[in-house]
Formats: sequence, C-alpha cells, structure tokens
Amino acid sequence: MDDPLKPKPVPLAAETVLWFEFLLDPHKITQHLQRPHPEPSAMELIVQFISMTPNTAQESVGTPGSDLQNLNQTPSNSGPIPGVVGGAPAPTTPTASGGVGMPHSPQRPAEKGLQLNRKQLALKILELKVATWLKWDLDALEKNLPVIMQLALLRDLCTISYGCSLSIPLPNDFDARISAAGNERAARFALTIYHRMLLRMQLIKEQALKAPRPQNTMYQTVDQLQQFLDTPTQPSIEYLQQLCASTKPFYIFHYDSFVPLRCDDIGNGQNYDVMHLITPQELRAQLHYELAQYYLYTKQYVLAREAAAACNTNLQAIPPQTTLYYCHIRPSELEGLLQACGISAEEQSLLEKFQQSLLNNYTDIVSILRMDNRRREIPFISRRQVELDIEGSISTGILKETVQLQLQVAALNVVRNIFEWGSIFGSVEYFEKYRELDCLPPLVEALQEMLPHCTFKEQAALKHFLIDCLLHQGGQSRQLLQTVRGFGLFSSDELQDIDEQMLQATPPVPTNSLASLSDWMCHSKMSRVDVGALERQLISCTNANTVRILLVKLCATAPGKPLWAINPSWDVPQPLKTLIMAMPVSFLQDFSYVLLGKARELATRGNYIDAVSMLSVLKSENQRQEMAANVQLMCKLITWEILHIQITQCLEEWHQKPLDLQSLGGRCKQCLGALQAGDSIVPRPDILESCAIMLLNLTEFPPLLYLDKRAGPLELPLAFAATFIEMEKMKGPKKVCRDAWELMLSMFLNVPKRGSSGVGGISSLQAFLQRIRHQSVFGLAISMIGKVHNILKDDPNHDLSCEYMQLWPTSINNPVSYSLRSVCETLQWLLSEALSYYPQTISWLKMKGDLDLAIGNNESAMRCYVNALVTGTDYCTMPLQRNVADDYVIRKMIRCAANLGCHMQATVLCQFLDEIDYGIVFKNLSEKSSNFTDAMDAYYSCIWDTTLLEFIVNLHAKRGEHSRKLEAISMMGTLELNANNNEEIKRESAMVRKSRFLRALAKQYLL
Amino acid sequence: MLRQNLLDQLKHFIETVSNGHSCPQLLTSPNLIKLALGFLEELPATRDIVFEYFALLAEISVQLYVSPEMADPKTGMPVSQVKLAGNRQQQQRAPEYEAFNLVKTALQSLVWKGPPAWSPLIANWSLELVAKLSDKYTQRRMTITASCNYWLECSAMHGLMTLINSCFRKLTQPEEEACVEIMLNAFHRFPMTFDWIVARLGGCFPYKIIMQILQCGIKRFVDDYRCHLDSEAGILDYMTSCHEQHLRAAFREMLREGFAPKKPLDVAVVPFLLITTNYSDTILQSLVNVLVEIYTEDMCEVIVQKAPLWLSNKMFAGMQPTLNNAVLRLNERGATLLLTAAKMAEKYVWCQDFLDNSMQELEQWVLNQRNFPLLADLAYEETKYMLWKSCLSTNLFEQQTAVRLLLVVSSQHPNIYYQTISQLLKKSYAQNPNGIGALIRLLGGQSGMVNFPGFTPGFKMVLEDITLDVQVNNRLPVPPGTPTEAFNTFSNLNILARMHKSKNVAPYIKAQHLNQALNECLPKILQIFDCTVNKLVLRIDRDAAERIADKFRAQQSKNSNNNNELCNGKDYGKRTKLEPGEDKVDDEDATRMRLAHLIVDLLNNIEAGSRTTVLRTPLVLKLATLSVKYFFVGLTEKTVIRRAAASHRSYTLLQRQCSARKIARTVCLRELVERALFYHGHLLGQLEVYQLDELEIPEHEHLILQNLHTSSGANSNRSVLHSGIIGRGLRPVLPPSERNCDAEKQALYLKALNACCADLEKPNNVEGYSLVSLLLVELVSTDVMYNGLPFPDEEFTRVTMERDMLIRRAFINSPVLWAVLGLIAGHRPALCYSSVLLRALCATCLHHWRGKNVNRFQPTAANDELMLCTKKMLQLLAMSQLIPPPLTNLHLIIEHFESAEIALLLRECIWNYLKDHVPSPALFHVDNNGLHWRNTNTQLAKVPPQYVDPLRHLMQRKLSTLGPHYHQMFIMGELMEGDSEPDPTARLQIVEID
Repeated sequence: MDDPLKPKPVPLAAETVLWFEFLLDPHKITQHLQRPHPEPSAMELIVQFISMTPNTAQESVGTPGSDLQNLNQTPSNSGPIPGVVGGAPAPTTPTASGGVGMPHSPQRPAEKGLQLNRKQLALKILELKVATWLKWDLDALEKNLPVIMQLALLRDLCTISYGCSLSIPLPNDFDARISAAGNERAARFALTIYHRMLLRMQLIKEQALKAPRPQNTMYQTVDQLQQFLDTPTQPSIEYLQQLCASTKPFYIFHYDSFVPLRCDDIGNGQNYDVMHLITPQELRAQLHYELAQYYLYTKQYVLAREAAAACNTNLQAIPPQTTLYYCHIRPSELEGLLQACGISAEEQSLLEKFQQSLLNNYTDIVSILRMDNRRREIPFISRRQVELDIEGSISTGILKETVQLQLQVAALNVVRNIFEWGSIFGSVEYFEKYRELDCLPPLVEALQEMLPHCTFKEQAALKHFLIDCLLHQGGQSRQLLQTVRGFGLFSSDELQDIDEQMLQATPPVPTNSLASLSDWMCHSKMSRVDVGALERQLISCTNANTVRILLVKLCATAPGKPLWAINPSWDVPQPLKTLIMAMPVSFLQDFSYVLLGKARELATRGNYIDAVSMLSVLKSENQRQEMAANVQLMCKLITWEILHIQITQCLEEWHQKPLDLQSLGGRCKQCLGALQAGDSIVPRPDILESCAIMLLNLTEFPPLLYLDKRAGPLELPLAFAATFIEMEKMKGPKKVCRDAWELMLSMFLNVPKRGSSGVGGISSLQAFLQRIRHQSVFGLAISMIGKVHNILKDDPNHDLSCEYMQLWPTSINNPVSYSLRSVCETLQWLLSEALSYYPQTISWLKMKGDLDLAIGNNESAMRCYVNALVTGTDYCTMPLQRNVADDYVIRKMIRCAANLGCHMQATVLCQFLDEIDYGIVFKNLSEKSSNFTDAMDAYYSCIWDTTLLEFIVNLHAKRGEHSRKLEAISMMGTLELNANNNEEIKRESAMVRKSRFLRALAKQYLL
Repeated sequence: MLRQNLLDQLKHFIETVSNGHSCPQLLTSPNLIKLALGFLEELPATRDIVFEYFALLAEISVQLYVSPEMADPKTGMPVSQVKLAGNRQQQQRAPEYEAFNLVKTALQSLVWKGPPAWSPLIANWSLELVAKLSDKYTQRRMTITASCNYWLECSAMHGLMTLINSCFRKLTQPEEEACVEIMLNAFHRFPMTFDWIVARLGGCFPYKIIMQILQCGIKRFVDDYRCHLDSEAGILDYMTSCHEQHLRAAFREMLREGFAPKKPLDVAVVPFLLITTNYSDTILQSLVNVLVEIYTEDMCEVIVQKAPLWLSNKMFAGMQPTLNNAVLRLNERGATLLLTAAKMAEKYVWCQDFLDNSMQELEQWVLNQRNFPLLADLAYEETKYMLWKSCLSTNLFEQQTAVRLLLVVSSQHPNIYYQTISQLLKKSYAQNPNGIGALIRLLGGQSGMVNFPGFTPGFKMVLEDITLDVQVNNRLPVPPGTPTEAFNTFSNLNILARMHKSKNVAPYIKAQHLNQALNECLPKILQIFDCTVNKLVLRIDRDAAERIADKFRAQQSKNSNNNNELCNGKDYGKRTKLEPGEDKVDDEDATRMRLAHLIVDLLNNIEAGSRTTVLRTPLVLKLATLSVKYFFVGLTEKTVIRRAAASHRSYTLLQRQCSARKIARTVCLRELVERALFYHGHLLGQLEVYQLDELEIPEHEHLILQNLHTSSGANSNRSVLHSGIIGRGLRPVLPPSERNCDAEKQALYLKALNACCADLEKPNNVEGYSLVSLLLVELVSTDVMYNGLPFPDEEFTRVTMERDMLIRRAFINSPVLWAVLGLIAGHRPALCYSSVLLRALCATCLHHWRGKNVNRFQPTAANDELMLCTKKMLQLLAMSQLIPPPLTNLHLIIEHFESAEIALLLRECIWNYLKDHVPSPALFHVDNNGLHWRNTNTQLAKVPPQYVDPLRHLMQRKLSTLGPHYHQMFIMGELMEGDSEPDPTARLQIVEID
C-alpha cells in the first residue's frame, strides 16, 4: 500500500469551500455556483452531496470519530473515489434517521412518503439544485459522475419529485401516485429523465459494470445498478415516443424550484410553481436524439435514422436565438449523428462514395478512384484491398466483370501509389502481373490526368515512377519515352542517362559492317571471281533450295571439274556414295552429293535442323525424279541418314528435348528391324549403334533383345537392355544377368582379350558411355563400375555405395588381372559425365564423394557431400531426410572434416548421427583445428547436444579460456536447448541448428 | 746448258702432250706436270702451250669424272664416292683424277705469291676453261644448285673454281670489270651451261653480277618478251641464298629507274621484274620485301600513272592471273601485301581483282588442305598482330581481308583462332562499331571446313585472361576513364548476345550455339562477377562503417555537448590528405561497377540460370548469391536512374533463376532478407547502432568494476532493456525522422523480393511469399519456441513478453520489415506464417497502450512510434484479410481513441478475434485459379458481434468525429442489405405534421 508514486495530500487552498458549509448557509450554494471557477466544482459538489446521503435503507457501521475524520478528508477528495467516501454516512444511522431531525416536510407523505432526516433532505435538495444549475445535462453528468452517483441522483430526483421514497429501478408495474410532497410536472420531468437515463445507461452498460467497484459500502448499490441496467428498455422507449407524440406542455425545473432547507425554518417544500415550460420541439429534439443514440447502439439503424432525422427537423423548427433549457445537443454531435446515420446534409465524401460503390458491386469504382487520384482522400490501403477483392471476386466468379476492370483499378492504384511515398502496400507486381494485358495505356492515361496537378515535390516522385516504367517496358519503352519527353519532367542530363540505360535493352543494329553482308565483298568483275563467289556460296549456304539455284548457275559456267567436287571435304557415307557415283553425270548426281555432303558437314557443326531439312528435300527430289529401281533404296538410305542425324541431335540436346521422342523411338525400332528382317540392304553399323543406344536411352528395352549380338558395337547396349529387362522381371535385390557384368569387366582387363569380340578396351566403353543419357542407364553403369572398384580395391573403409549395387556379383576371378586405375579413372569420368546431365542426383554426388575420399581428395569429397546434402534439402528448406544423409554418409563426412583439420566441423557433424558417438566427439574436440575455416567457438550456434556443450565448457575451463567458456555457457542457457522442452521444440531447435551448419558448410565449400 | 736442257724438256713435253691424247696416263704423270710448271716460270713463251696442257689435264679429269655417269641425276651428287669406294678401277685411276690438283696448287701459289699480273691471266684462262668444259660435258639441263653440286664434286672443276676465286681476290677494279665482262660474255655464249658458274662466282662481287644479270635479262626481255629467263632467274635464285641484300639493293635500284623511266629500257623494268618473279619464289620474296620496304602512298600514285606503260608489254598483260597467285608463294610479308592491296581496293579495281583472286585461291587451297608458304607467313607472331590490328580498321576491305586471312590460318592453327577471338573481344568498339563485324564474321567460321575449330575455347581463353586481370588488381596503371579489357570484353559479348536475340541480324552465328557457348562459360563469368561484386560489397561495408562512425560521433558530441573541436579538426585534416588515394579507389570502384552492370546484362542476355540449362548446384548457389549481392551493390549507384536500371537488371536475373529452380529461390530470398536485415540494412534505413570500440573504455575503469555492472548468468545476453551502457550513458538515438526507410530504395527492394517470389507461370502461387514469411520468422524471432500460428490467451503474453519486445525492437531497428510484411500481406495467405510476429507486435502494442493509461494526461503524439506501429499492424492485418471488415477500417480511426480505449479495442476486437480465428491458410478459400481469398462480403464471414461491438460502442461516443466512419463501417452495409427500408424522408414529413 505504501506506494511512493501515490500523490501526497495537498494542503487546501484558502478559498476551498467545504461541503457542510452549504448546509449551514442556504444562499451559499448560489453564490458559490455563480463564481467563475468554483472550487469544488458543481460536479464535485453533487458527488459529495450524494456520498453524504446514501440510500436511506442502507445500514452501515461507522467507526467512532469517523465523522471528524470525514470532515478533514472530504474536501480534498476531488474525485469519485468511493473508498474514501466510505466512512461518511455516520449521521445516517437508523437511530439518527428516527430521532435527530424529523424534518418531515409539511406535506404529509404517504406511509411510504419521504422518510428522510433533515440532513438527508437538505443534501438531496442541494444536490438537485446543483443538477438543475447544470440544466440536467445528462451528457455532462454522465461524463463526470460515476454511474452509481448518477443512479443516486436519479433516485433522489424521483424521490423528491414524487415526494415518496422510491427505489431504482422503478418496478415494472410502477404507477406511483404522486404524494403530496410531489408534483405532477416535476414527476413527469423526473420520469422523463429516468427513462432517458435508462436508455443512456444501456450504452455504457459494459463500462459501468466494469468500473472500479466501491469497496464495501455500496454493495447494495451495485446490485441496484445491475438491476437498473437489466431493466427492459421497451417501456422506456414507448414512454419517450409517447412523450414525443403528445402535445401536453412539458415543464422543467428552474434553479429556484428547489428551496434549500434553512436551519431555522422547516419550509414548505419545493417551489414547483417556478418551472420552465419548454417547446415540444425542444423536448422532441432531445428525446429523439437520445432515442437515435439508443437505436444506434442496438443496431436498429433504420429507427435510428428516423429518430435522428426527427431530432434534426425538430431542432431546425426551433427559432434560432431561443435559449434552450432542456436540449443539450451540440451541433457537432448532431452532425456526427446525422453523418453516422447517413443523412447528413453535407456532400458525400469520396470515401463514402467509395464504400457505397463497394457495396454496389463496384459500380463507378473507376471514376471514384480516378477522382481520388487527385484528391487523395481514400486511404491507399483500402484501395489496394479493393483491387485484391476485385481480383478475388472475378477469379471466383462472383463478380461478372472482365479482367479489364481489375487492370484499370490496379493501374489507378499504381498511379496513386506514386504519391504515397513509401507506403508499404504499394503494388510492386503490376507489370509482371498484367504483362499479358495491355498494361501501359491505362497507366499513361491515369498519369496524364494527374500531371497538371502535381506539385514540385510530387513531380520528383512521378519521375521515379516513370523511370521505373521505362525500364520495365522492354519493347514499348521507345514509345513511352516519347510520351515521357512530352511531359517535360526530365532534365537533359537525366534524359541522357535514361537513354544510356535503355540502350542496353535494345538490340544493336550493325550498319555497314561485315556482319551485315551476306557474303564477302567482291567487286571484281572477272568471271573467275564470279564463279569463285558462286562456289563459295554453294559451300556456305545452308538451304537446299539455294543449293539448287547455285548448282544451276554453276553448271552454266562450264566448270572444269564435277560440281560435287567443289568442296573436297564434302563426304558421303559409303553405300550412298556408290549409288550416287553410279548415277549418270547429271544435276541429280551433283545435287545429291552436295546435299549429302553438306548435311554431314552441318551435322558435325551442330546445325541439325538445316541438315535434316536438306536431306528431306533430297529425299523428295529423288522420289520425284523416279530414277529407275534405285529410288527406293536411295530413299531408304537417306531416311536412315536423317534418323542418324536426329539421334545425334537428340543426344546432344538431351535436356531441351528437341524432338518427338516417341516417334524417334519408333523409327529406331524400324531401322533395327531392317537388320533383323535380314533385308538385303542394312543400315550402316554407325546408324545401328546409334539406334540401339537411343532406344536404351528411351528405356525401350524389348526391341533390343531380339537383335543379333554378334554385331560388334551392339554388344554393350544389348547387354544393358537385357539387364534392365531382368531387373524388371525380378523386382528384387537378386543377382541378375551377368552378361553386362562380364562384358564390362572384360573392358578393364590389363591385357585386353584379343579377338574375343569386336569390343575391346576402355575406348569403346567410353564411346558407348558417352552416349548414355537416361538416368537409370547411367545409374546401372555407375553401379557396375562402382562394384568393380569395390571388389578390386577391397578396402571396406573406402567402399562406394550406390543404388543397384546389390545386383552384381561379390567377387571376381583373378582380380589381379584387372586394372584398378583405369576403373577409377573411368568411374570418375562417368560420374562427372552423369552429373553434368543430372547434377542434382544425390546418390551420384555421394558416390563421387566416396570416390574422392578413397582417392584421398578430401576437400573435393567434402564438396560433393555438402553438395548432396544441400541439394537434397533444397538449401535447407526441407528437413534432412534419411535418404539424403544416413549415418554412412555422415561418418564419411566426419572423416573428411577430420582429415581436413576441421575438427570442430567434425564434432558438429557427429550430432547428425542417429546416436552421437561421444568417442569421436571427444577425440575431435581435443584436437586442435588446423584449418583457418574452422575454430572451436565458430560453431557453438550449431550445437544442440547439451552433453557436447558441457564438455566444451569443461574443456574451456580446463584451458582457462574464460570468455569462451562464458559464451558456451550462454549457449547452453538458451531456452530452446532446455532438456525439459517437449519433443517438438527439441526437434525444431535441432533442425534450425542443423540447417544453420549446413548453410555454413555450403558457403565454405560450394561458393 | 740450261737452255738446252730446257729445250729438250720442251721437246719432250710437246711430244708427250701431242701423243698423250691417246693415253691420259702419260699426260697425267706428275713429272710432266712438274715440267710444265717449270716452264711457266722459266719459259714465259710457252705459257700458252702450258696452259693448253693444263686445260687438257683438266679435261681429262672432267672426263674421268663424267664418264662413269654415276651422278645422281637429281642432286648432282656423284654416287661413286659413297657407294663404290672400293672400286678398283677407280682407285687405279685416282692419280689421273687427282692430276689437276697439282696444277691447281701450283697456280694458286703463283696467284698468291707471284706478281699480280698473273691473276687476271689465270682468271681469264680458268673462266674460259670452266665455261668450255661445262658446256662440253653437261649432258642435260640441271638446276643451278644441282649443277653446282655436280660440278664441284669434280676436283678439276673445283680446283678451277678455287683458282678463279683466288684470282678475283687479287684483282684491281678495272681488272675486275674485265673479268666480269668475260664472265658475262661466257654466259652469253653458253647461257644454258654457264649459269651455275656465274651463280657460284657471283658471290665474289654479288652486286655487280646481280646487276649485270638483271641488265642482261632485261635486254633479252626487251628484244623478245617471250624469251625464257630461266638462267637469269636461276642465277639470281641461287645467289639470293647468300646475297639477298645485294639482290634487294639491285631491285631497289632498278625499281627506282623503273618508276622514273629515263631510258627506253627502263619502261620494261617493272614488267621484267614481275616476269622474273614467276621463275622463282625467292626472287619474288625479295622483290616483295623491297617493294614493301619502299612502298609509300606516293609510290602508289606513280604506279597507277605508269601502269599503262607497262601494260603495253604484251607478256605482262597476259600474265596477270599468274601474278594473282603470287602472294600464295610468299613466305613472309604476304599478309602485308594483301592488306596493302586491301587498303587501296576501294580506289582501284585492279587491287580488288588481285585481292579477290588471291583470296579465292587461298580459300580453295585451304579447302583442298594443301600446304603453301603463305600459311607460314600468316602463322607468324607479327603477322597475327598486324591482322588483329587490321580487323579493327575502318576500311571494310582491309577488315574483310584480315578476317579472311585469319580464318584461313585458323583452319590449320586452332590456337590462332582462339587467340584472335580473345583479342578481338578485348578491343573496344565504342569508336568504330564496324569493328564488331569482324568479330562476328570470325565467329561464323570458315564454311565448308569439316573440322573448323569451335569458338567456345576462344571465349574461355579471354575470360581466363580477364579473371586474372580482375583478381590481380591493376597490373598497369591506367588513366582513369579508359575502358578496361574486362569492360570491353563483356560489352562485346553483350552485343553478340543481344544480336542473337534479334535473330535476323547475324546470320553467321547460330543463336543457339552462341548461347550455349556462353552458358558453358558461365562458371568463368561467375568467377569474374564474384570478384567484382565482392570487392564492391566490401566497399559498401567500409563506407557504411565510416558513415555510421561519423554520424555516431556527431550525435554523441551533440549529446554530451563537449565537442572536441581539436579532434574534429584533426580528423578533417586527415581526410583531405587521404583524398587523392580515395579518388583513385572511387574511380576503380566506378569501373568495377560498370563492369558488374555489364556482366549482369550479359547474364540476362544469355539467360543464365534458366530452366533449359543444366546447372550444378554450387553454380546455382553462386549465381543466386551473387545476384543478390549485385542488387545491393546496385542500390549504391549514384543517380536514381542508374539505381533503377541496376535493380531492374537484377530483377530479371533473380526472376529467371527463381522461377527455374526452387533451390535458387530459397537462396535468393534468404540472402535478400538476411542482407537487408543484417548486412546492408543501412541501405534500407536500418537504425544504425554503432559498435563502440573497446579502446574507448576509460582506462580507470577496472575490469572488476565492469564485471559488476553487467549481470552474469545464462540470460544476461537476452535482456531487452538495453537502453545504454552503464558508465557511458544512454545509447544515442537518431531522430525519428531518420527512422524511415528510404522510399525509393524500399520500393526497389520490394520489387526484388517480388521478382524472387513471383511465379510467372502460376500467377497465384504464393509459395515464394510464404517462404519469405517463414524466413522472417526464422530471422526475426529469437528462438524456435512459441513460433506457432495460434494466438494464445491474452494472459499468456506475459510469458512471451520478452521475446515479443525483441521482435518489436527488430521492427524499430529495421523499418524495412514492415514493407516486407506489407508485400506478403497482399499475397494471401502468406502472412499467416508470420503470425508470431504479428502476435508480438499486437501484444507489445497492447501492453504499451495499457501502460500509457497510468499516465493518462500525457497526450499521444500523432506520430508516436507506438501509434504508428499500431496503425501499421492493423493495416497489415486488414490487408492480409486476417481481420474482416469493419475491423479493417480500424487503422483509420484508431488515432481518435484514448490509450485505454485503444488497449481495449486491441484486446477485444483484434486479439480475441485472432485468438478465435487462428491466422492460418485454412481461413482462406482457394478457387479454381489457385487464388487464396476470403470473401468477407458473405453472410458467413460476418464478424460475430462480440468482436465488433466494443468498437461500435466506443465509436458511438465519438460520433462527432467518427460519424462518417460509423456510417460507412456499420450502417451502410446493413442498410444496403435490408434494402426494403422506406425512404427516411417520408418519416420526416410525418414528424413535421406532428
């Protein structure tokens, strides 16, 4: 209780009047109130008077001497602090009420009449008098008096007016006769006030109930308050409405209506003759106002609006200059009410129109927003919300509008945002979002509308925006730039700067340069040069039609040598060459030869499309010429050549999927079919091999199985295909087809077998592996070689692991005769080849790491592992799964890190194991890091195992490294690592640290 | 006596000699020779006979040499010596064969020691003899070299030649003339067989001989233009091997005359010389060398002027085609010649003819894979440089010729191709935009060649160079402003890449190939980029640190009011001293910045990191990190326009990567957010906290005292209430006006984030934004606890208050956080994941407003941080549709309430609502387009009154200010729904009547 912040009692000011002085001098109150700044104020007086006269029925025990205490305290008691008032009503003990004064008014009250002692009566009169002085302004009373005081005041008012003691709330069936001490007019007034208060109280109900409760004495009052608040309001409403409708004159109290008691004079009650008559308009205005408030409160908005309107009309009906006694409506409040009800005479604000439009399915929204762009009244965020709402409702189909509306609203918002300097809700995605629509015109239109109204500062903002626009609009920027120039906003320097930046975006047009010439410049008029130029064109052109034209032209120059020999490097594959050479010397011969030669040349340069189109032209040309029997043959051969080129293209551009793989596969099958069917003419071995490999890459294995194995280069693809088919059949980790295995193994013999088959040595294997593209084929090859490596190396520490590994035999006969070195090299090469096609294959990355580790290349091994881990978790967005990092990999990483001298990294990695191997941990921790990328304290934030931290703390303590020890301790102290946390938190915190560490590794090893 | 004896001897001699014809053995007896030699001294009268005898001896020797006919016909080397060494007959006849040697020795000594008169005599005789013998015994035509080899193997001939040689050395000037005369006469007589002798002996007075030969040739040429000049050419050719200088001098001399003809003969000079070149490559080479040496512009004029004269020569007129190939035969200076011609080609048609013909031939030869001398010339180091220079020429012909030559040589020497590409890429084409044409044509390669090298290694080569350049800073001092090679290269690569984009411009390079090649070089490009950007980032950091230090110092001195002027003065002094160095650094950084822009442009042009290319993970990470770094570097550009341009570049870059790969998006976003919050926050208006350096701790403060000041314990580092450091006063706080994020940069930053998040293919995909949201939670929230979405009971905030305040502090420190939240708020339901942040903001605001209640008389400033924070939080909630209307308008009116009321509203309307309606994606409806949206207009979504009524009631009490809002928030909608309500004016009338 001894609160130092509590203000100490301040000595009283000299002019402060104490409450009991008013009891002593009946005129004192008037004098006091007439002062400019009475002290205590009118409100305070009311409070004091009321707190001196609690409920008549109340019984309370006063402590002796409390009166005295009270006297001393109350004046300083400036606020409604009931606790202090508590001890006040000492004089109102039952005995006192019975004996002391008996100041009953001369009008005999009924049996229930005023049973008040004089002091109580006097105080009540004073209290009401003050209230009348305040003109019964309920607003003011409400604001300044605690609710309970208000109720007391109301009770006193009713009590005095009716002349009999009443309890608040009035009972439902209240029909109090007015006792002699009462007065009909006064009672009517009181009842009006009562009902008004009843309604008003509803509005502050919550607050009233929550208001600080008086500590003990007012217990009952509070109960009363509850009752009062729970009184049904309908009767009151009806009463007030009746009152409004009635034409009966209405009187209100005059200050002089209340006559204070004198000590010497019992008096004859209140002077009810002195009462004001007020106009019905005034009464109605006030009542309607109150009703409107109540309706608003209870959400009866229609009624509220009517009431508010009525209030307003009534108020208007009162002639200006009239003094109002009863009606305390302030103009601003009335206006507020009218506005709230939407019937204000003021012009509709833009915001209101905007809201209206929202409710009306966005009618006129565009024009409103356009207006707002200039006036800037609607909060920007609301506009953005509308934009998104429109998007949502169009998207869900609620709003049947085109996207155009959305676009326009968005554009207008973008323009408005220019002047919302730094708004956090600005639309940053306008250009991207609407890039498919014509997003610029609405923007420019909106801008142009704005431009004349811009202040200087706003122009700067506008400039920024325009720059942004210009940079966004790649293609249309020129046009926009013209428009922008028209605005005249930019200085010449700035324009130049812009131009410079835009230059980057526009494609350069080389004029008058070598690049713009189609051939070399040849101005010489000599025929030799002309012919030479023609030949050159023939050599360089990439189009069959041009070839045709040029050949005709060249033919006319009577050349000395056959035209097909113009370029000696044109070469034609064998069967075709014989066919062509067998042709009579003719255009067709030249044409065929040249096209075939050129196609081959183009294909080697990677220009597959032109090559294929040339061959196609040639094919149709041949068909057209109908040259005897060879046409069929020729066409067939050309088709195969086309296929060959397309396979090459497909393998080269594997990831871009340039061709329809399905049809390509089909044609490969056909081609191989020719071999199988034993046709007289079979495709070249090259083509057969390509087809086989292509089918392998398309994972169409069955057609390969039926091929003749003896055809040398087909051996490997066939063996692979057979393996795949067996794998499919077995569906399990069974040892399968040893064909491929044997074949592969034979490649690594130290001394290659002679003549056993057409295949021999590493080079043919590489030639085959080079053309592998499909992931599973890669996988198979890798696993096979990996297994060979494992067997030959025979060192379980450096075993490689990969999928498919279990397919292969576990031993090799006579391992000495195989070359481990070439196995290693081939595997290394194959892995990097495979990874260049599928760089995100985690198992290969890990295997490469294993291999590097086996070789002793720790850093590169670590790089591979980290790469695998980072790739497998999408840069640590996904939790580390078992398939990405199992104990096996982690242990290898630990080994790597330790080998690299990064012992702390190794330590942290130990936590990744399923069960932390503290042996390794402690061993690593006690080692000194020998790598500048590693340090004891660099990775504390990645440790989540508290045992580990404890060990570290201990270690630091032993070494006497105090500050580091403190750091480690503070790490241990973090809430997250508390051992009592639930599993989820533990998991989460471990996860966070894991990814933190992984990112650190990635930054070290991959960047 | 003596005389008699002499006579006897003479008689014997004559007899022997006259009989000797039948028997060479007799003649070659050494005695006889001695006798003859004796006569030479004692009987001058017999000199003729003796010499005749000697001639006879020589002839015998020659006969002997010739007879076996064992010489190799090609080389002229007699096979005998080698193969038939053991031949008996040969051995037998050896003395005969060697007989002349005696004579030679004797005569030689005579020449050396005898009176000088002997020399001409012997010389003349020998010449005559040699000529005669040569003519007589030459069976068939041989080349000069072959003849020389052949004859010099013969000892007699060799001896004679030695003799002549010895004599020539003794000759006086006039005698020499005479000798030459004789020689030439002999030459005239036996033009076919004497040439080798001339060639051989010409070495003694080369210039004279050469000149004479030429003169003599020209005479013959003038007489008959069809004459064969083989001998002359042969001699010259032979002599050139040792006496090229003299030949050149002769040519020079003749050309001088030829160009300024005085004698009628002079007119023929040029045609003659040209004709001569047809006979021999060496002559041609020499002539060209001379021509190139003396060539000037003026000379060209002369040539043009005189050409008609020369052309009158019929032979010359007909020989042009052969001339055109001449250049192919050149070992050196061929390229120079061609380029010279090319320079003039515009002016003279004949130059073009020459060029075209030559080039055509050249290319034909290359196609046929033939070797020719010019290739060697082209492969010379010097030629390479010259050609490179010509590639940059403004003369199109020259440029074209250079390019064609380079292409030709490249087909045989791929390394030259790569070097050329590398060189041409390094050059600046700002002055002469045509220059790039050469590069483009060169990249197009030589068509028709199957194995022409690809250009990728060229790119790799230049990039490798530049990497070195960038890494090892400024090996040479460069004047500021000059574009570096790195700059040039990237700008050229850029042009290339952009050209391919506009398809039709460059038919020579397949766009796809170029793109592929550049993408293959991506690791190298990134390496350079890495270097450049990292240096710039370091620079930013340094600048920022300095700026903060300055600012902090100023603030502190303002705070403590004891400005140390002296110290300041010293500081400024230092500053000025440093400036020149700083200027240089600035300049370097400006260059670096320009380079960075260019590289990014290139990356954009080649679409690096797009889905179509396969990239290894490290490369993806690197590209992503660098892109973000570049973005921040771009923010430090000087002008608005440049900042915007740089940012736009990085947007394109970021967007491409992020929509292609998820991992790239993860990295980009993380880097963007991390850097904005932790590393480059100062660019985005982060509240700057200056780390006091340890040294400023007053010395008198003992460690023990300091330890007392800071509470130790596990949580000592987690206390939020750090408003200063004990003993050093309050932390200087920057005025609130500076606490805002620079709007322009903020916008740029948001766009960068958006570029990473936006998925152009799936426009409503909010994955990226959700990622940002989660990232914010990870980075801003202090630990993993209580990071869940639900709002707990408001009571529970006491538990989390400390971390809530830390989160709030983060928002104060980094205002950009608001903007980030604002961005994700627009992409529902991403903001849900940041629930913990919203919760923290809401909880702290709530508490602070409650706290204000104690001191209720202190008015709330409109721009109070608390009020702003509350407003922003309410806006965020509204924007993200986490609170429904009418609560969405709360931010508009919140400032009209008092603190207690605000606290009430926050609790009743916001906290309680969110507690009951957990901010989670489940709140949102996903439509067919994948758009998350909460339709708040439907009846279902209406807010239950318990969350709204407190607000409504509070507002009702402030109708005078909030009237319109009240209407809009509550009534308008209601009335709109219950549309049936009659016109209020109707009721008004009734009242009126009353």
